[in-house]
Amino acid sequence: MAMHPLDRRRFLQGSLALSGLALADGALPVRPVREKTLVVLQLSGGNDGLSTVVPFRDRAYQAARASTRIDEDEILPLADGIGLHPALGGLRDRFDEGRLAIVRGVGYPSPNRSHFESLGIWHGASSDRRATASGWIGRLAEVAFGVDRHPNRIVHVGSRVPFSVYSPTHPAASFEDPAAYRFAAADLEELAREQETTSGSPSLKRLRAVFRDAARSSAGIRETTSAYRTDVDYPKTDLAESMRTTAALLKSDAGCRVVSLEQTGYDTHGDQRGRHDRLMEELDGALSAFLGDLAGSAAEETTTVMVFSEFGRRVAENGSRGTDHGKAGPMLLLGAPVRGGFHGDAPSLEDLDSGDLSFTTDFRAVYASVVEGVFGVEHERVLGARYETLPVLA
Amino acid sequence: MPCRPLLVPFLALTLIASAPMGSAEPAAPDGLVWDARAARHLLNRAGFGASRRRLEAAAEMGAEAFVRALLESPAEDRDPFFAERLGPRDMKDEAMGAGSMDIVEQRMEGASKRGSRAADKDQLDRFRAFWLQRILDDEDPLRERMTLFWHGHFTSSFRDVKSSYEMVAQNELLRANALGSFADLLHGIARDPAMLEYLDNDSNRKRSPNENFARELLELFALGEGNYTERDVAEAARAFTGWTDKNGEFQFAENRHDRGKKTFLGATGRFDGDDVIDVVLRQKTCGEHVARRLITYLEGIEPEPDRAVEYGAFLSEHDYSIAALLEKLFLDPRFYRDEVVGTRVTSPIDYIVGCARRLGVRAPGRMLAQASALAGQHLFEPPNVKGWEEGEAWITTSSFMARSNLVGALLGVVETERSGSSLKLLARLGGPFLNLHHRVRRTGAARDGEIAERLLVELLAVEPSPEALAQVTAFLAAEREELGLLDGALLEGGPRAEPVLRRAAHLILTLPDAHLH
Repeated sequence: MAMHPLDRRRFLQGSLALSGLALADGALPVRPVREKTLVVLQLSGGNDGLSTVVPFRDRAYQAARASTRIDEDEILPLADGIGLHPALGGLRDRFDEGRLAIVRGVGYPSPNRSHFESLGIWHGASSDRRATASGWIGRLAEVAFGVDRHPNRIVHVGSRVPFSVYSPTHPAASFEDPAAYRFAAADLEELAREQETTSGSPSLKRLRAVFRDAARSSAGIRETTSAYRTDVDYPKTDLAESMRTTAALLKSDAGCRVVSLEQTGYDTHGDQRGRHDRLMEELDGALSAFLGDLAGSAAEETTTVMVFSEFGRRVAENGSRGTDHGKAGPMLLLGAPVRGGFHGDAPSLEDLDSGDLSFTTDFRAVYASVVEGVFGVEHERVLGARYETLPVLA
Repeated sequence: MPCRPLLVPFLALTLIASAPMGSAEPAAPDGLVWDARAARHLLNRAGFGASRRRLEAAAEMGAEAFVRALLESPAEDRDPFFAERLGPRDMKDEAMGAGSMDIVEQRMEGASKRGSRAADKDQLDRFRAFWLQRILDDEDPLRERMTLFWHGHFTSSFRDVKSSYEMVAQNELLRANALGSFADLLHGIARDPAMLEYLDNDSNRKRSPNENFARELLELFALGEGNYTERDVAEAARAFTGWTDKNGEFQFAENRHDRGKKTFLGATGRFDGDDVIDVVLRQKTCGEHVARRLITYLEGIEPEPDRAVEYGAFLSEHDYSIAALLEKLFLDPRFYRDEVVGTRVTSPIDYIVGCARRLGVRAPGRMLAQASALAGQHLFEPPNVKGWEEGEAWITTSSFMARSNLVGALLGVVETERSGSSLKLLARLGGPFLNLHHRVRRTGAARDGEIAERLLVELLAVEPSPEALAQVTAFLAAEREELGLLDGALLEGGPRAEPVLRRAAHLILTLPDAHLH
């Protein structure tokens, strides 16, 4: 079965627009103008911000943390009394280059210590906490891409697709193993490409849109990732593998504008230090390899990475050498478009909110900055309210 | 693609005609229309789908009798010999016989670190296979459905618990009480070794309590977010200090327990864990939370607040009897409303078991367990403490592919050389035993549209959509023309027809309609 003519046309239009090939006076081809892209990495379980961006000289920190404390001799100092976790050497280099922005004390009013409620708040990002039909990245797609239904605009690499990328009209392409991302029956894949999505019950309509996108994204994703070669040595971890796939997509013309990823394991109620150390090492290894891989490519200039977690952890430890669910925590932004350094005010360790850090910057203000800076979309159209943006992007 | 006009209403008639209701209307509560549609819906949700024969029997029995039969578990005790084999206690006893405590310690440590790791994993794999087999066998569908529900509600993961013995013991607790009293379940789960370890209560000590279990008890298990304060979490955590486990048994470590006064949900006393659970069970919001979770799971849509209140009150008044609540729900006309019937997205287990059952393939449990894991639902390894996100969350671009590929292997119609070994095993199973050509021919279907309709009715858990009927008919017409046969002559093509029908079945089970029930 041949490609539907309409799809072929749309596909060609898409790739033309993407490559931005403009022949000035019919002479030299101009370097392709690539569109900006966002990589969103979720640290699931509630990352202990105090063990990530560490106020190591703060006496309240030293007093509260007996077993999880990171001492001055281990720390990677960034500024007076503040340093990074010892495993974050790659991130420290980015900070020195001015390509790592640390937004301190990020949270939201009336914080919720439930993983699921808090993730729902971060994923939905509604202005009034009421449930939204689409996640915030889904709404971004609806506003920024509109009639452009290219199936690869939003990609989630991993097994669990977060609500943030959910949209009934712009489904995310998602996969864990890109090599297995195919319909084994090629004729069914062809048939699915033509799936009509405008008739049927509401649930069937939504399913049909995903079905069609599955078929339309399959070959491109597979070919892009399987053909990918790089000199960069990625560590042998799940996160690094996913970041390698992300680099392959962003350096190609697969059409991705947002890639979503997840690192799990941050719910460190017990024996936190060793577990968290390993997570930090995995995080630093994967991010460093990824940024190194983009270096020198066109994607380097256009890619912003944003790292968040659903909440920080309690300032005081519990009795299991771990920490319970807390509130505010840091967000990280990395990449060439980023204005490095500290943003937002550091929360006080003495003036606590029921044992937790209080937020100083609303996470939706960070989203707003990214929505405007990366996608050039007025953030109110996506977030439903106005927030004071931060100068995190150049 | 050519598209023939088809008579859609005929579809609905086929199923009803094949399920005669008899002249005397069987008893049904006011407002409940008990017909083939209702019976199919109930068996999709209360069980794991049904063959046509079972649907006919259900429709004939009448609503009340059928629901009663569902709620009665078979008398035969089919509990297998599991868990005892690698139980820590047995290992210890055996070692004790061998000599001193030192040897005991050595053996325990050596065993748990080396060989027994693989054996432990294998024991859990065998239990998964046993469970899936039990689901496919369909002898006690409601109990299996509810055990799966509780496995998602009171969830624990082998990844954290790291003991098949404890995971199996938890499953036996859930199965034994699946239709019993929620109060018993809640008291039981708070002493369940797998749960104590999964939610870190085994290290919840007086000096500085660990809140993990207490928080999930209130948020996920019993009350729901918004029905307690952070103070209640902290006070409940104190009450559960010292509740731990040893060698796979619950243990109360008195020296770790906080005997002080606690103020919890407005009550004050020197509470321990059981007291806290009793206070929880007295809350109006507890019944409502449990009712809401159950209705949301079984209907696929969250109930209106009034309805959750109504069912919550009913549950509290009936001593938290789950069977009583289910009986009320299954005889409630609202359970059969259009918004609910055929609109829920199947979980991987629903999908795979449903496909095997409707195709008539006797797949072994081990394979079904592997297939559901490949499709994203690995029993005993839920994604997080909330269990599996049900409904539309199951549908992603890759889940469409994974499901299509699994069922393609089961039908023996896709190349499996490059696929995983479990796909290959599946392919060896299904292929030879199917005879779709005979099955369709027997019904008198001959023309493309009739064959398409017959296959759709037999293979889907829902009423097929007109779009699906058009797609399958067009597919059959194109295939038939390729064989040089006239419309109506496909099934006369004998052996040549079977591969066409299997590929049509593959198409049907790949389409969006196949993921609803």
